[in-house]
Amino acid sequence: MTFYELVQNSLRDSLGTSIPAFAPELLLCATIVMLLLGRMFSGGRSNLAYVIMMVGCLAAFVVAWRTDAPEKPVEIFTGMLVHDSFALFMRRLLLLFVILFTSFTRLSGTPDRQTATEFYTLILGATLGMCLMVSANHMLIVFLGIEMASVPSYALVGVIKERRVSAEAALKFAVFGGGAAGVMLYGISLLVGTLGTAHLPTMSVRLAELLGSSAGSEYHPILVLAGLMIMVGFAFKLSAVPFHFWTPDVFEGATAEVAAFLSIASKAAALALLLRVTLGLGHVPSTLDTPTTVPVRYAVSEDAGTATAESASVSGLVTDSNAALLPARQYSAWLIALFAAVTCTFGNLAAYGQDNMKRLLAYSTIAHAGYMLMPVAAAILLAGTDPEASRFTVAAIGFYIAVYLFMNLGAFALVAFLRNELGSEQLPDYAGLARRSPGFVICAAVVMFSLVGLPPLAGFAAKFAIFAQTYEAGLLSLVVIGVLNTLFSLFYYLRVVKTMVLDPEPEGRPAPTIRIWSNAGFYCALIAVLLVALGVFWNPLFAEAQFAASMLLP
Amino acid sequence: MTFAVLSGFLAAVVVPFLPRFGRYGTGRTVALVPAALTAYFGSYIQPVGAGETFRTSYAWAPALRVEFSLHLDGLGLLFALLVSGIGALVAIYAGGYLSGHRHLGRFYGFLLFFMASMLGVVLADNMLTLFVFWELTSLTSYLLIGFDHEREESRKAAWQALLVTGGGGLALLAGLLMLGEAAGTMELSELASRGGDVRSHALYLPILLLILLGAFTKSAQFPFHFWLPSAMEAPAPVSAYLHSATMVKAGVYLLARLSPAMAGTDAWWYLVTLGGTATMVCGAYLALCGTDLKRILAYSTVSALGVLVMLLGMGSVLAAQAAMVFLLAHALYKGALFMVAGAVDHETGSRDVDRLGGLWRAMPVTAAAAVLAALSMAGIAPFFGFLGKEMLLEASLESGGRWFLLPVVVLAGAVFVAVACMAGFRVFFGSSLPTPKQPHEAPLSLWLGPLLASAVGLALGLFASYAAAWIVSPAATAILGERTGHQPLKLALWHGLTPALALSGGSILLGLLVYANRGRILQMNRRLEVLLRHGPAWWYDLALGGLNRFALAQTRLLQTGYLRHYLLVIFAATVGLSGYVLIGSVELPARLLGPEIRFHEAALAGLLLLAALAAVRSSTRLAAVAALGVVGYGVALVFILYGAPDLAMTQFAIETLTVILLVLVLYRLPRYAVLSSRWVRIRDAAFALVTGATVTALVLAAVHGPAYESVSRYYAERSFAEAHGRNIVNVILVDFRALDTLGEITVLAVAAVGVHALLKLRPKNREDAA
Amino acid sequence: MNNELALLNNYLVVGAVLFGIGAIGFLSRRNMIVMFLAAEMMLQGISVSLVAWSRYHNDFGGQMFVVFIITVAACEAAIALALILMLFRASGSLDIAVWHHLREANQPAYVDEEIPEPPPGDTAAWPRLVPAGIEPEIDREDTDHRPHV
Repeated sequence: MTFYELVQNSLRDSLGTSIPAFAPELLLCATIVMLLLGRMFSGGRSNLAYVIMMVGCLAAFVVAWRTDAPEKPVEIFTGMLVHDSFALFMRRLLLLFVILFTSFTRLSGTPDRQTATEFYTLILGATLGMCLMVSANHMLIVFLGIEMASVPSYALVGVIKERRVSAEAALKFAVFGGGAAGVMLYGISLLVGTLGTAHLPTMSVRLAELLGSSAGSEYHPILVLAGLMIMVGFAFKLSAVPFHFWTPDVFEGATAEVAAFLSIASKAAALALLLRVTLGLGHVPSTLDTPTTVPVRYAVSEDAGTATAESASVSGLVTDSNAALLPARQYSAWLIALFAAVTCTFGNLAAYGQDNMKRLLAYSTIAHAGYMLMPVAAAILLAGTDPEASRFTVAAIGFYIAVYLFMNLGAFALVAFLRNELGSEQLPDYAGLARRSPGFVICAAVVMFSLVGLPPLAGFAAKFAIFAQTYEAGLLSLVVIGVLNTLFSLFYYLRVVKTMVLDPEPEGRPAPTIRIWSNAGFYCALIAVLLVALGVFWNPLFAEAQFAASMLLP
Repeated sequence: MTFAVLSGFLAAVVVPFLPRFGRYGTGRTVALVPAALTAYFGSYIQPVGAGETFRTSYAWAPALRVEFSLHLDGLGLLFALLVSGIGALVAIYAGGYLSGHRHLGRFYGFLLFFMASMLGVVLADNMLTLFVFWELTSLTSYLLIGFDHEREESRKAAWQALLVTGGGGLALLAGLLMLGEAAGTMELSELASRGGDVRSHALYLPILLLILLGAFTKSAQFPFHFWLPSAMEAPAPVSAYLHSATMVKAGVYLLARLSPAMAGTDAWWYLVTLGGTATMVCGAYLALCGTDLKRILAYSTVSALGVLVMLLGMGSVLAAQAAMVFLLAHALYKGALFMVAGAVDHETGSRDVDRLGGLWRAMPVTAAAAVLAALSMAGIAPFFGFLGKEMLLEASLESGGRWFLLPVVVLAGAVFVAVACMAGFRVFFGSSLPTPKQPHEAPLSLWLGPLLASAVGLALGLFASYAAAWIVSPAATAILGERTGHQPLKLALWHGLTPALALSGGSILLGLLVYANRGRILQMNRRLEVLLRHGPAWWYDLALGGLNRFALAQTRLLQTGYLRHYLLVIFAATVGLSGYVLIGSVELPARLLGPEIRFHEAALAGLLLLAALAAVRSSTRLAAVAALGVVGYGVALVFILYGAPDLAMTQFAIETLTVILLVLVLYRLPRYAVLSSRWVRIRDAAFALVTGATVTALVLAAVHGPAYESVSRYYAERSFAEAHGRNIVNVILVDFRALDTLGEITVLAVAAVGVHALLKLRPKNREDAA
Repeated sequence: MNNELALLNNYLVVGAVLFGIGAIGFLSRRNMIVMFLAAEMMLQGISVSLVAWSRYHNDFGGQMFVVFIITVAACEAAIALALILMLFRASGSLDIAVWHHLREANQPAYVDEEIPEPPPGDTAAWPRLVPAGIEPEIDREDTDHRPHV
């Protein structure tokens, strides 16, 4: 191959396949540039930043919406990213979230005009990282995506410079983030080094060879250690116990808007990435087609290379290697199930006595991370025995993520709107709100009931789907823990509703009224209606999630 | 049918705005909805009685096998008629009871919402549909009990009811999920034919337990019965509707619905029958000991629910038929009695049976309704209650081997008689007692409901054969499933002189006896109170409080807000996890200690350890420095022993230098102070030991892994050949690793400059400060 | 081949030790700057082992990884330093123990052991080295707030 051909090939690959699939992210990048330029011209006096942000995100969303899912997973950018229906689903979800989030920040008035440019730039940067996370196909992107999502978040938390607490929150976040990133990276280096490649599908092939060979047991400790360390990084992003410590403090210190972003987008992306990595490592793809041009060579020693080719061509061997991966699947499922059980229980119990709404929601976020980890363990276990059921489980998770997005956005939105009205984020100050803003309180009740998972709201549908699939995988004890925890969670979510509806109004409080026809009220009503609608008609969204999962475990 | 179920929800949305258009007559307007529904379901009596069933279904989430499907058969029809019929009566009643109340419209909204949910429960075919409506009834019940939300007790009772029934509902969800998995269908109507699969499934017992948990909490079975009496804080219409006639029967309905698939095993018999019996006894006793009219009725409801559950547990044909008859009778008379109790409370301001009497003069119509209902409750012919009791006794007689049921049932029947006397006669007859409000006759809306309900009870008794053929029999058929057809139900007031009749008469006599001796029972109860204080309610409070405290304590323990604690926990968790994993998978080198340990080696190791300990433990600085020096020299000795004299020399030199330096600066450093508490130090020490052990294990594991060849031979072979030096270390330092050495020297130089700068800064500061 | 493996092992051990020292420093130090330096050290340890692996496997994936790690580390360091500056301005201390205002509502503040001030009477002369070069001007204000950690 001449140099000219090489250039031609790489151009064709980039322009033909990769760039079109990557267009939404590129639009986000362009929006960042526009934001910074806009700042130069407007000097932070007008709403220009908001307008640019909104237009950019809408454009990106429309492009993502109109991008068709390929027939089968396509590796783009020489195997760094994968373009499939799951990535597309998650990116659409993330972009939709950013649009909703932007309008939410506009309504709640944070950030103000002075800080809007920085705020939105950081949000976009983090979103970009998350988009990378959900389509990662290479350990480098895994690490890079997590860091790209995390580093702007540290700055976001500290964005209100006058408040001491937000500085402290940023400090705690950054300290934990830095430590977790280091540990995770070490795990990645161990795994990548042992397997000799960082390309996820190839890694699974190598892992199967290693575990299947007689020398496999010698590598157990190092693999186990690597898995554990990588899981630490994920646990940090998902705020799974005991790597959750930053969550309540950071949420309390940051503004409700930033907390919403951290609680939703970064959880969703981390969960998708966890699925990608665990399912990618626990399953050998039956068709391992290498991209046409591979500037960076992954193939290493000769014998490993031939073994790859063989296992790729003969499907019988693939089943063998999938059987060989059983210990890897069991280990990761065990680890994740452990995290899920502990996280869920701790989160729910800790939320119990909280008076600060943001802390309460932080613990609720932790608890939900626990719920969401349960089906992940199930999906991994099922991947070996019944790929169809495993895909279905992933669909349930995708559905849960989508519903969780709306629920938590609603919860944080009402905290932010009430903060603007009351100047307080303490639950006791919400007492008796139903007297003056009944419509708003009904929306709040819908959101809270949905977070509990009471029928017929969307939260119930989502919870039902994941519990059913967890049971399907035979993880009965996890289901029991989940159900028990749902009971615990009833206490504190309903306490919020009870305080708003039943408790008498405190004396001397300014009388807040959020009319349902005001912008803020309408926003909350919209989310509440969505939650009810999704609870009653969940099939369209679930079908979408099923399509998203259909290309996993090729 | 779908519209019939959902119309309640629609109406519930509209109704709250009704009072704005006219203060009066709202109750009667609202009652049109349930009345229309009653008529609608009434039209099904004919075809269902002939054995037809109806089913509609809509796809909901087909991928998860979830459908919105409704199914109408005899059992569902009986309940649907109860729900809508009594709903109509209660709606009228509530208009009078709460007339002029600020939130009357809201109350009606909740009430209709509940009615629609309850209809959904009894008509649902898909288990998920059932669960959705099931939880909606819990939720509306919460809103209705807490309707009087200004009162603390009422809020607390609502909360308690929601937690108990909602929590049970979650268990039910898990149970239904597993049941669906075991049976291979989520449709209740198909379940009956899959009974064999279910009963032989490996998880039958857990499934049964979870479902029973759901049903028992909902139907206030022992030991979850405590929420029902507390729920009497609700307004009387709610008590009459939810807590006697409909919602508490949802658990019974569920057991009846599932019995074709699940009944017939030993586990079912013991759990359900004994649970029901215990509830029956416990409820009966507590009913006798009460003085509050509504509480007495509530406990007797608990007892009656126990009877129903017990009958369903027996599983015989007769028992199933008896259960349906008793259920219908109970719903009619108990609903009526609750409404009467509400009317009495409304008109006199008191519900204490000991402070009421002779009300018949002031409230003749209400009294008539009460007497009719009480007679039915006592089981006097020709009321429908008589038939219920008769069949109950027959079913118990039939159960043969399980002899203990019979006396218990007779006793319970006696208590019903006594309660009927209290609620129906004591209050209205005898001498008049002063009451907080001057009693006068209740308005039409307050007595119409109870009177109609008890009249229906009488009519059903009189035309028992029709009731049997059209209503009770289809319902019993649905319960019996495959075993149907053995024994057509015959209901008649006169069966001839049967043992059941004798027992019935006996129980009435016994009941009158009990009523006459009520004072003594109350006295005895006071002595037993110590025992009763630790009932389920006490445990509930304890568990709730305990959970609360535990939650707070664990949060406080972990979430100190102090970064270093967080890091400690995280690190401990990581070490613990990796340690746990590694213990299983790593085999340590078998010969960690070679066999040929020589004495001086062991002695040296001991010395090193001792010195290290001394350095850590010593309380003076000088001793610590000296101990540290010993450690350093010991390490140098180790080098000598392992054939590295030049390294040892270097170590000696460095060690000496360090000690001298330390001693030089020692007196300028602050004295030793113990800054941490003893506990903290012990914790840190333990933590350090564990961490050290884990790290050692990790290093061993890493070294153990791939084959390892020492580099020393490489240097040994080449040091003379390539660098012409015999001292390998020197050669390495100045030849092989010359660049490293240069780098190291540079680092030292930089460090020296830094030290110099620091030292120069300090004294000036001091002087300025001084 | 054996030589290669030995080399790999050596570098891996160095990497692990660097990582371990970094982790210990990260956990045990209270000075914020030192903590972040320790975190950087962890990343350097990883870089060492990645490069070693890359050499062992004879590909450039690992080195490519390291380039990205360095970039990311620089970003993190920039954010961290800005943050530290902000915190220092707010509290006048680099001690991380100062920052525990965010905690459970009814939780008493945890008081870590204070670093004791040197006794006031200790005015002994410090060893003076021979002056060399020009003594830097020192801002009084800075020295007052200099942390003792």
